[in-house]
Formats: sequence, C-alpha cells, structure tokens
Amino acid sequence: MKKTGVAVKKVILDYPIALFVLLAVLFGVLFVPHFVSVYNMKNICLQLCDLLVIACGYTFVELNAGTDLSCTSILAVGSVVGAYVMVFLFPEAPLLGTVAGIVTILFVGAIFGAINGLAVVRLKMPSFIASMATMLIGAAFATWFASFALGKTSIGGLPQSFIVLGGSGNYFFVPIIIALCMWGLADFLLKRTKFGRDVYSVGTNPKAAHISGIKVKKTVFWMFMLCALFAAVESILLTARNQAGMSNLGSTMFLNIVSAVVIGGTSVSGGFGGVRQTFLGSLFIVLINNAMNLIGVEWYTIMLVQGLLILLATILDYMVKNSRYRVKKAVKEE
Amino acid sequence: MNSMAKGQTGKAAGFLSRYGLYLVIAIMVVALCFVNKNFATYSNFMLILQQMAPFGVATIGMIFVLITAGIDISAGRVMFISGVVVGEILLKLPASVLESPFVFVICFGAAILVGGAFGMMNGLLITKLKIYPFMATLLMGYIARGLGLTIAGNTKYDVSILGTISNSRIFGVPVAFLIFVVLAVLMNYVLRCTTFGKHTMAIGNNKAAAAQIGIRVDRHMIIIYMMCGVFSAIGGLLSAGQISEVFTTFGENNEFQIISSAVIGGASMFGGKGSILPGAVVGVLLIQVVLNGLGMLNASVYIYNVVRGVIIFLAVAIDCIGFEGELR
Amino acid sequence: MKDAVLQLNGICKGFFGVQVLYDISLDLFEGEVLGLVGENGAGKSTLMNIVGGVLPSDAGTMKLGGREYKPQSPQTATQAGISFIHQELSLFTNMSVAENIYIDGYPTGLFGRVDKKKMYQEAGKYLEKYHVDVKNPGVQVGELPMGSRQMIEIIKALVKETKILIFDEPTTSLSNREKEILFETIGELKKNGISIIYISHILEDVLKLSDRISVLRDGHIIETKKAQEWSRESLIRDMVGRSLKQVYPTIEKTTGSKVLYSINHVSCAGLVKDVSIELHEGEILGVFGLMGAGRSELVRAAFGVDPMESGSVTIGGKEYARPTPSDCIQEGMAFITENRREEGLMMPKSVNDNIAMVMERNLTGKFGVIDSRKEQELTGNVIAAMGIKTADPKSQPVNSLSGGNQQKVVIGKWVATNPKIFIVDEPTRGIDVGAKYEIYKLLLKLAAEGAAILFISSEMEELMGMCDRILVMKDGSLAGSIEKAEFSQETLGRMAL
Repeated sequence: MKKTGVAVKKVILDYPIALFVLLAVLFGVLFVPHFVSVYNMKNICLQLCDLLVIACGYTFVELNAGTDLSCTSILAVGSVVGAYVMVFLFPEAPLLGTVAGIVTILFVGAIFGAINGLAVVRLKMPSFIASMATMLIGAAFATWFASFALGKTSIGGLPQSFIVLGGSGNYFFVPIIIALCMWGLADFLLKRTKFGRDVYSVGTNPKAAHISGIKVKKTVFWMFMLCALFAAVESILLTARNQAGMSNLGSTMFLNIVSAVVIGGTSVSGGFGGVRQTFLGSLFIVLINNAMNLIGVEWYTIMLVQGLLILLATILDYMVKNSRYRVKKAVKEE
Repeated sequence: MNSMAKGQTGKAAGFLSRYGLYLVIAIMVVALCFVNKNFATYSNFMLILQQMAPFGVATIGMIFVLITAGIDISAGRVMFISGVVVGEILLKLPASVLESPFVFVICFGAAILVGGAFGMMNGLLITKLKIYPFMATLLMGYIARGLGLTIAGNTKYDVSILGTISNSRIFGVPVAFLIFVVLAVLMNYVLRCTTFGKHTMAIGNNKAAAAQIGIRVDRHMIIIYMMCGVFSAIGGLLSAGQISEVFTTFGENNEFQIISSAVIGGASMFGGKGSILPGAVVGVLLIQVVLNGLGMLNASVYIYNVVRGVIIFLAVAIDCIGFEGELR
Repeated sequence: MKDAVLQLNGICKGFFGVQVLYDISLDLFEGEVLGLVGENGAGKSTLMNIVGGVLPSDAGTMKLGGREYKPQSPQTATQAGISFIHQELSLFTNMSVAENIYIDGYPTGLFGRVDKKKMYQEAGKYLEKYHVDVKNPGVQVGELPMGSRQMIEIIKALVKETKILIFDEPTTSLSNREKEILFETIGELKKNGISIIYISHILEDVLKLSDRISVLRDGHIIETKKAQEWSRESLIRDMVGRSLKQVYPTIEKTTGSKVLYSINHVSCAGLVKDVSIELHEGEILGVFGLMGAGRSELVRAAFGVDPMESGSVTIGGKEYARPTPSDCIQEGMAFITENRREEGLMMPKSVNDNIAMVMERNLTGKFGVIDSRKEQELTGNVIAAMGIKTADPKSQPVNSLSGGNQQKVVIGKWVATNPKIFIVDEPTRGIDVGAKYEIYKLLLKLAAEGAAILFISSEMEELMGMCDRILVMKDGSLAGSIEKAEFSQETLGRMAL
C-alpha cells in the first residue's frame, strides 16, 4: 500500500498534469450526469484514441518549439484521396483496395511532411508559415477534390476490411490497439533511440547539439515528417470510423491537439516533455470535453475554456522555469 | 528570432525588388482585361477598391507588428469578436440612437476598445511572459473566437446599419476606401516622420541596441500590438458592413491574407523593414486584384483558397532567403 | 595645472567572490587622450562598464567635473557627458545616418513631426566638421563601410555634447585609411576640449595617440605615466610581467613524431589568413593571442562549426575540405568551445543528459536504440573519473553546478568517447584554482596516453606551464612559434601585440 502511495506521488511530481486528470475524473463522476455509463466510457476511449495518435505526432514538432498547422489538413486530404483510391480504383478488390488506401494515405502524409520539413530546413522558413501555407492549400484541395472533381460531399462505400480499423461493432478494440501502438512507437522513438535524444538536444540547444555532432537539419526534418505520418495514421482511423472519406475531416481538431500537448506538459519553448505527457494531456482534454458536452456547454465555450487553460499552462511553465533558474543561481557559488 | 535578412546585390535584382511588384500587378491587370471584358470597367475597379479597404486597414496595423519581427495571427478572430460585440450593442440600442449618426461613434468606439484589449493581451503575453508571438496570438485568437461565439450563440448579427459607411460612395469613390486612404496616410506619417515610427524601425533592426539607447522596448511592443488589434477591429467593422452581417465564421483565416499583403508590400517577418505607402497599398491591391480576377474567371471557391495559400507561401519564401537564425 | 575632468578613486569590483578590480585610481584631464592597455581579462572592460553606467562599483568613488558621479544606467552616463564607443556599434542599419545620430532625441515640430530638414542640416554640419566621408545624411547606415559607421557612432556621441569619449578596440574592423581618418578625428576632438580614453591592444597606435598611458594587469593599475616615457617593450613588460603563482602538475610523457591532425592553409572571411598547424601524438600545443587574433575562429572553422573559406583539415590521414562536427567526431576528435553556457552545455538539462550527448553515437545499436545500461555505466564512470560533484546526476540541471563542475561535465562528455585529438578553447576560464588543477592533470594524462591537444588560451602562464610548444596568432595569421625551452612572457607578449 505504501509502495503504491510513493509511486503515485512520483507520477504526480513527474507529470503534474496527472493531478488534473484525477480532478477531471472526480468532477465528471460527481457532477456530470451519465458520465459513468458504459456508453460514455466507450466514447471517452474512442475519443482518446482519436486525439492521442495525432497529438503524439504533434509532440515531435512542439519539442523543437515549432508548429505544424497542416496536420488537420492531412486528415482531410488523406481521407478523400484514400477513399477515392479504395472506392474508385479498387472497386472489385476490397482487400487490395484497403492496402492501397492505407498506403495512399500514408503517402499523402509523407508529402506534407516533406514539404514542411524542407521548407523549414532548406528554405529556412519559420514552421508556422510553411505549415500555414500547406494547411490552406491542403484544405482547399480536399474540398475541391471531393466536391468538384467527384461531385460528392463524402465518399462512402469503403471496403469492409478498411472500416474494421475504425472499430465498429465487434472490432471495438482495433483503434485502441492502433492508438496504443502508435503511442508506444512514439515513446520508444523519443526515449530509447538516438533520434529521440537528438530531438530533445536540438530542442534545448541547437548550437551545442551541432557541435556535439548531432545532425540538426536531419533531426528537424524528421520531426516534421513524423508529425505528418502520425497525422496520416489518424486520418486512416477517422476515415474508417466515419466509413467515408470526408473533406472536412478534423478541421476543428487543431486546438485540441495543441491543448493536449501543451497542457500535458511539453514546453512551448522546446526541449522538455514527451508523449507520456501528451497521453495524460489528451486524456484530460477528452475528459473535460466530454464532461462539458454532457452538461450542455457549447463547443465554442469549450474552445474558450481550452484557450484559457493553455494560457494557464504556459504561464505556469514560465514561472516554473524561472524559479528553477533563480533558486539555483542563488545556490551557485563561483 | 531577430535576424537581419541579407540584402540583395546586383542592379537587376535591385530593380526587380523595387519595381517588380508593380510589374506583376500591371501584367495581371492587362491579362485580366483580355480575359473578361467586365474586368476593365469603372464599376469593377471601384468594387476592387471597396473590397480591399477592410483588409487595407488591418494590414496597416499588421505592418507595425511585422517591422518589430513579431506577428499577429489573431487578427481575423479579433475582427470576429469586435463584430459580435458591436452586433450585441446594436441589438440593445434604442431606436432613437440607431437613427442618429451617433451610432457610428458607438460602434467604432466599441470595436476599438475590444481590439485594443485583445491587442494589449497579446503584447503582455509576448513581452512579459516571453511567449513567442505566434503562440501568444494563436492562443488569444482561440480565446477571442471562443468568447465571441459564446456571446453570439448561433445568432447572425444584422449590422446592415454599418452599410451606410461601408457601402456608400462619394462621387463614385467608396467611403470605405477613403477611410483606408486617410488611415494609411496618417499611419504612414507616424511610421516615417515621428519618433514612435523611428523607434519601431530601430527595435525591429536591433532590439538590444534599442534597449541600450533607452527605448522602452516592452512598452513600445505592447502599444504596437494594441494598434494592430484596433486596426483589425476597424477593418472588421468595415468588412461586416459590406456583407451586412456578422456570421459564425466571420473573419476566419483573414490574418493570413493580411500578413501576405504586408509581406508582398515589403514588410519582412524578420523585422526592420516595411512601409505603408506604397507597401500596404500595393500588397493589398495585388491580392485583391488576383481574387477579383479569379471571380472574373468564375473560379471555384477552392481555387480561391489554393491561390491564397500559394501566395502566402511564395511571399514568405522569398522573404526567408538569407535568414540565418535557428530552425524551428 | 588643469583640473581632472574625471576622477576615479579606489574603485573595486568583484563577481561571485572573484575580485576583478582592486583599488583603481585614475585621473582624466580635459582634452587629453589616455591610453588604457592590458591583456584579456585584465579588467579594462569591467572598469569602463563602471564608468559608463553599465555596472555599479563595489567600492570607491568617481567625480565628474569635480562633482560626485554615480551613474545608474548607460543613459545617465550619456546625459552626464560620457559616451562609450563599443566594438559592436549600436547603429540601426535600416535607418539613415541622420536618423541614427538623433535616435534618442529627434528635433520635432508640429504634431511630433520629426524635423527632417533640421536634422539633416545639423547632421551635415557635424559630418563636415569632422571630415566624414558621407555626403548625404539621408543614406542608410547599412550601406556604409565600417569606418564611416564608426564615425557616425562618434558623431552620435558628439551631438549629445559629450565631454568624454571611451573607445574600446576601435580599429579592429577598419582599413588603414579609415584608421588614419579616425586618428585625425581624435586630434580634432582633442582640440575641441574633449577627453578620450583609448583602449586598444595595438601598442603602436596607443603610443602614437595617447598623451598618457595606464597599464592594467590582473585588476590593478600598474603604472600611469606620459606616453613618451613608455616604449613598446616596457609596456609589454608591465602588461605581462608577473610572478608565476600557479603550480602545474607534471607527468612523464613524450611527444611522438606521428602527425595526428593538421590544419592546412585555412582562411576564413578576413578573420583567419592562411593558417597551417601540425599536431603530433602526445603533444600539447598551445595557441596564444589577444582577443581578435583569430584563434577561436580558426578552430571553429576547422571543426566545421563555422564555414571555412579555403583550406582543409587532415584527421588521421584523411583530408576534409568541408569538415562537419559529425565527421570530426567520427574520426576521433573532441572540441571544447570557449563558451560552455551557450555552446557546450544544455543548461536546463541534467548532468547525465549532458554527459551522454556525444557518446550516444557509439551506444546506438539496431533500429537506433541506445543501450541505456551501458550508457548509465559509462556516465557513472565519467562522473567518478572527472570528480564531478553532483547530488543527483539524473535530475540535477547543470546550470546549478559551479563553473568548475560545469566545465568538467563538458570535458567529461568528450572524454567518454576516447578521442585522440582534443581542441580546447579557454578550458579554465571562470573556474576556481582547485578545479583548474584537476583539469590540467586530466589534460596531461590524456597526452601521456597518446592524445594530441590543441590548447587555446589567453593566459600565458597557463600555456607555459602546460604546453610543449606554443604558437602565437596575431591578426589572423601565425606570428611565431616557441619551443618549451624558450618560453618567456616577454617573447609571447612581443609576438602577440
């Protein structure tokens, strides 16, 4: 019993957001009607999976204090192009179509990732401008492709083997497994590989990293690539869930993604954080979104609350960083 | 993030960089004249001027921010929330006030207050909490939108009363455009002929030296962001008046167009450069001509967005040549 | 007998327990040029920062024009009539000459309108008076050459009715012609009653320009007397002459004949001019020089941190024309930069994270996975071997360590990869005596085991105590080479100055 107590204390100290997650759960259980139902728990699970995958990808970019505004557009473009491939190019071969669809969506992600990465590393563009441009072009393309080229708002008729990935009926656990695998992959990359160490080093002090032999440009490029690829996987999940390719997929997700990452504990100035924090952050966002929804709060008020929470998190991050320095400076003797 | 872009050498490059834009506009105008007879008409020209006015006003504020190597991506959403606040006020005003010219004072006054408040928040976050301008304004943008929608719910506000200003013409020239011209001339004067303007250029060029000289950089930056908020709000009202209503996605993504206009007009995201006359005018005009031209070509909505995205990318890519700072 | 315009009495200053200035007393008279010379670290910058209002003094008084002078900020100093022309000019390249000159006090008219006409007129007058080669006060500063820019900086000060001008290494970026113009200008300023403190390491210039010269060494004023009473040799002697206090460890070692590393005709952008160095197995080769001599620039280019204009490096037989840090590390090199805070350490990160930074490349297995057990083992070894004092290496951020321990972390992170070639740039700067000794011991041990060390330092004593041979750099080129048997302070000083 004592051991669990110590363990819990350690988790909270390492990941202060855990405390807020507990508070959110408490709040939900006590004050929100229908919170503790099986149906709602299933909902929360799925929503967590949905947010987790793309937020993990975004964490890579945030660790270098960058941003990727185009991740939501990847969802849309991947969705419509993938659906097109599956429905129009492989109508008679569902299994092959599924594979082709998955590959196509990942390829879409790779293209976005490459453009963003190269723009930042070669053209020296700030990431928010590069990704803003790709975001706008992507969103426009998705809408045009679906409505204009195909004349539909959504592309239905996806092969069953693909829809399974979304977790309908008995396959409820599939997206959960996918999400956990992606999260595990991200955590593995960040904590156990050299690439992950390089991500943290570059995010903390790129000059020192360079002198220590780290290939900074390569690392930054791959941060954007991974973010885009994770977004592509997310696109697969969501498209399967909706059972149709949709051109406005995830258009409102961006705030949730940034909230999950920043409130979770990854510092906006880079170098600190990770996907474990993002997991907790995603959980927190999903919980409060869910709770507020059930109470009847409108989506835009939730947006307001989230914006304020990110603000609070950034202020706290600033204060903590500053006090760390100040206290230590006083102790230092030289 | 403060780094000087290396200057371009060579006479040809110099000529291009100074007059290239006018060349581009001229080519586009000529091409569009051939494409659609209606383009070269007086009424279309006036339409272009009228439609560019709200963006022009907002660009004026954005240029000051860009000169200090900052950015404000909450501009569009500040337009939204000012529109919402004004809409609410209009609903609550008694008919007598609504019919007097006093209503305009109230509307624009309210918008200025709202824009100024959000601008000040931006400024504080950036100077006191040292949050990157992009992140800070992104946050405030969400807060503005969330707050605006919470106030509005699903109502569309009828602000046709502002149409009296936004849509009317004096001797055929749109009033909105005249307002833009007046503000442009005024702010151009501030930028080029006053100490405030000089200090802005100084901060954008060499922040450390500016502080050493005794310029109160933090205070200056807060004022600049407040100005940007105010101009965005005013631009927002003008725009709302033109469409007669403030709807739920009013102002969304406008900041990107505003920033592109400023950058095309000569401002650099790395600071130290920028002008209102002719910069802002040229930039806004160019984009407006393109958009108008797309309308002439009966381009679909999606093409609009793609073109807007491409313009932003190109404008900024050219600006980034020679940047030697950190890659993020 | 004229009264002193500026009087310093008993000025003392220390940082974090290290005393930098001891009881400084100086007088400056109207219309005179007082030369101030001293090695790097003698305290010149600190002293001028106190006079210029950037730093407060710990003790002592200052009098300006007979009245007490205690500036709270650079602006107070400027208002009192003291202007500082730093090496890095504080001009705004995107504004015109006139706009820069009047930056903190524009002549204004109606509605706050900057009176351009008046500004240009006044600026023009000054430009003409001091024969500045700028005809149009409206030209952008960014388009002017360095010499003209410096003149603008001077005019900026004059416009504020400066009585005292402090020049800090003013001629480093000037051509000979521009230098002459500067000296003529200084002559003009003197005639107008302005007093000048001229800090420079170019002794010929100081002797030519100054009326009197003060020598600063290790925070003390050694002597102040008329320029005619000095000679270059006597200046050097006073600047460097000191009793050698530090004890240096000794070890049995031999320098091999094998060349492990060579720098071949490397040049960089005017700062380094065709320098070639050969480094032998087991050798500790020192590189001495003053600030601006190009030593750091040379090794940074050699390691690939900054771009090289021409030349190459040969590491273990392989030649690299465009080396990158990764290449060099691959070939068994290590580079300890002179600013550990900005480039050597990740300050907010833990001791372990920092130590692991370079060794990671060698601990990477399949799929890029790092062998964390081995890593922990190696890190622990490094901490023990280097004697790094840390409460909890896993979580203690390095910015809370003392300077000596921080430097040990930096060195430790490199030592962990067993490099054969070390480049160390000011490795003992800002470190207490005890830690210094430990670092010396370590470097000697590495050399005894066959490593080659390129040791850059501004401290003559340190180089003479540690090195087998010392190279001297001056103005970007190699000025000479001295074998151990012939080490002497005067020789080193003479070559460097």
